[in-house]
Amino acid sequence: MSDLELMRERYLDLALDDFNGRDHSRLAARIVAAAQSGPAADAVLASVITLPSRSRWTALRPWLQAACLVVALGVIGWLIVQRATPPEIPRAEPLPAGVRGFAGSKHHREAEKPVLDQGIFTIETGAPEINAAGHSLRDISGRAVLNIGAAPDREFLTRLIPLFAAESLPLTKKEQAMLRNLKRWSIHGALALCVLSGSVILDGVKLELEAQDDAADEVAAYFASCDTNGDGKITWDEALARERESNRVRNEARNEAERKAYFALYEYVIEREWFLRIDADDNLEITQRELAKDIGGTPALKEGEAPPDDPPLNDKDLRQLAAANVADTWDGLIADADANKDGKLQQQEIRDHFLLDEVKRGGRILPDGTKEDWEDGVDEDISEAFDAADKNKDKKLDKAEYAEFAVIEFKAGDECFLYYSEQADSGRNDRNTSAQRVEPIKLTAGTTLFIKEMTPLKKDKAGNWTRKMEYKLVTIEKFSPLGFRAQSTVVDANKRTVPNGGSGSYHRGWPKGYDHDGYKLDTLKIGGVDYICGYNEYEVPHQQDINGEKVGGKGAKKVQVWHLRGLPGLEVKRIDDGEVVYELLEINIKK
Amino acid sequence: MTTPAQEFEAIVRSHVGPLWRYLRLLGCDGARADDLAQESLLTLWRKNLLDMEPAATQAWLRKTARYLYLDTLRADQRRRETALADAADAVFSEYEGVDGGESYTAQLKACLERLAGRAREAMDLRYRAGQSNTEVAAKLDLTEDGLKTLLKRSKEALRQCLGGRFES
Repeated sequence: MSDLELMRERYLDLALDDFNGRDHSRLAARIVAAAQSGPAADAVLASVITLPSRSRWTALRPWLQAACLVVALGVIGWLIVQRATPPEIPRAEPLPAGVRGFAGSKHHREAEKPVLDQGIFTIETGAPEINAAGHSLRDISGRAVLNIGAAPDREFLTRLIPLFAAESLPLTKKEQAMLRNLKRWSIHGALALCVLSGSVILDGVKLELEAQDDAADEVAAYFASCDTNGDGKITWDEALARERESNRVRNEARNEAERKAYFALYEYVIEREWFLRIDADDNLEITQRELAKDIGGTPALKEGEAPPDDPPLNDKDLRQLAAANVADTWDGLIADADANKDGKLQQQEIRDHFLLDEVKRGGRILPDGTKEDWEDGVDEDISEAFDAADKNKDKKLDKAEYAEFAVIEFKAGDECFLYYSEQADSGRNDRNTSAQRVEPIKLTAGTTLFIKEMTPLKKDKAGNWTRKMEYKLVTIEKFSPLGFRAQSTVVDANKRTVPNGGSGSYHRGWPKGYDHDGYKLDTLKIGGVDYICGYNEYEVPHQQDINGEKVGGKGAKKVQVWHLRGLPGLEVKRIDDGEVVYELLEINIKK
Repeated sequence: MTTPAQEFEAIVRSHVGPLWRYLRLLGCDGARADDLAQESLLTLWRKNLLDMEPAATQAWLRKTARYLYLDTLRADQRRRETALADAADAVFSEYEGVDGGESYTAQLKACLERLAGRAREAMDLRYRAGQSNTEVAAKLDLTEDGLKTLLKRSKEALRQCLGGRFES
C-alpha cells in the first residue's frame, strides 16, 4: 500500500470515527485560556517592539531618547492592559462563560452575580461564582450538571440525555451512564447536582467526582432506561415493548437529526435474546443483581485473549424467544398481508410479505429470479413446512398454525441453499466480475449453520471463481426461514431523458449548489400508475460513470439519481448517455 | 472595535477542528492532537500573526503542527514520518482544501446510505451510535471476528464508492 493510499484509508477511518462531528469547543476554550494566562507576554512584546540597539540608542539626541522612552512606555502599558483583559467570549445568551442553561431554564443577576432559578444548567471550568437555588457554587473545575426544581427521578433521567442532544452538547457514553445513575446525583434542597468531571465547591464544601466502577453506572443506566414503570425490576413484557418501540422509532427515522435522537434515546435496550441469557432464574424478570452480574461480572481479558462464548439458551428460553418472534411477525403479517381480513394467511401471502419486506429494506430481485443478498443467508422452500403446519388443510394458517410453521428445527439430511453475491477482488479496471452463487449445504441433526468467514470471490488464471469459506456448526437452534426463491419479469418500462451536460467542468465531490438535504420530486408513470419519486441531480465528472468508476472517453454530464425505496419492484435498469431506463419488475415468487 | 484577543479566539474556533483532524491524520492520538493543536495556535498568538488571510493562516498552522509533530519523534522515525506527512498533506489538501471536508462528508453519508442490510446496521451502530465492537457484535448476533469481517467489507464498499470521486 502506498503512502497516499495509507493516508486515504486513514482519512476514511477518521471520517467514520468522527461521523457525528466532534465538538472542539472545550479545546478552543482551553487554548484561549492558555493564551490569556500563558507566558506569552514577553514574546508578544519582543515581537512587536524591537528597540534600537545600544549603540544606535546612545547615538540619539537626549530629547529624542526621552520622546522614544515615553512612546515605548505608552505602548508597553497599552499592551499590558490589552493582555490583562481576558478575551470576551461571544455570548449567545446572557449567562457568563462556563454556564449554560437548557431551554426553559430561568436565571437572573444580583450584584453582577448570576443566580440560577429553575431548570437544567451545565457549569464548566472558567465559570464564575454562581448562586443556584440559594446555594453558592465556586471554583468549578471540570464539568457538572445542575437541576433546579424537583429531585431527579428515573423518568427525569431517561428524558435528560436526549435534552443534551437537543442542546447540541455532546456527552460521552460514560457521562451518559453517570447522569442516568441516581446515586451520582447529590441533592441539596431544590438543587440537584451531578459532577461529571473534576470538582466544585458547594457552600464551602468540595464536591468531586468519585471514583466508581463504570459497570455500576452502566447497570444503573440500563435500569433507568428499561424499568419503565420504575418498580425495580425489568419484566419480559417491559423489555419487549421497549425493543419494539426502539425498532419502530429507528425504522421511522427520516433524517440524520432523527437518527441521532434515536440513538440518544434508545442506547439502552435489552434485546430479547440477551434478556433470556441475563435472566438466570428463568422467571422472566431481571433484577438489578442479575443485570450487574452480566454487565459487571465479566473478568477483564488479557491482551490477545478471546472473550468467552455466550452460554447457550436453554429449551425454555428458546421457546420464549420463538414465541415472541412469532408474535411480532404474525402481527406484521396480519396487518400487511391478510388481504381478505379473515385472520388467516395463505402461503403466497406469507412469501410475498417477506420478500416485499426485503425489497423495501433495500434488497433487490435479481434478473435471474433470485433475491440479492450479499450477506450470508439460508434459503429454503417453505411449502413442506407450510403443509405440515396446516392442520385442517384449508391452505391457510391461523396464528397457532403459523407458530408451528415459523419455528423450524432442521433435521439430519435437510438441505439448505446459501445465496450470496460478491464482487470479485480483481481490481477496479475489471468491472464485470460480480456473480451470484448458490451453494447447497447438507445439515447434520439438530444443527444450525453460521457462516464464520467468507473471503471475496476471485478469478484464478484459468478463469474459475474461487473463494474460501469457513462454517461453524453449533448445536440446536431454531429460527424462521430467512429467504425465498423468486422470479421477476418486466411488466413495464419507463424512459426519461436527463439533461445533457457535456460542459467539461470538473467537480470534486458534490457540485456547487447541490441540495444536500432535499430531493426534487417527479412522477413516473408505470403500468398506468403514477409513482412520485425523489431524485437528486448532479454532474458526473469527466471520464467517470455514475458510480465513480473510471471509464474512458466519457465527458462530464448531468445525471439524475432517483431514490426508489418504498416502491418495490422498480429498478433502475440503465443509466447511460443521458437516458435513464426504469423497469417495474413483477415479483413472482416461485412455489 | 475587535481586540487582538477576540481576533485570536475567532481564529481558534475556526481553525482548531481542521488542525486537529490534520494532526490525527499525521498519526497523533486524540490527546497528542489536542496538545499539538494548542501549541500550534499559541505559537501563532505569540508571534502575533493574527492578520493573515484564512487560507494563509491554515497553511501556517499546518506547517507549524507538522514541524511540532515531527520534532517529537526520534530521528529514525522522523525520516519515515516525513514521507507519510507529505502524503498526509496531499490527501488533506485534496479532501479539505476547498470546503473543509464538507464534500467528503456529504459523499460519505451518501455512500453509507447505499449500504443495505446488516452492513448498514453494523456501520450505523459502530459509527453513528459510537458503540463498541463488542456491543455491535452482540446486537447483530455476530462474533467479534464476524463483525470485523462485515465492517471490513463495508469499508471496502465505501472506499469503492468514494474512490472514484476523490481519487485524481
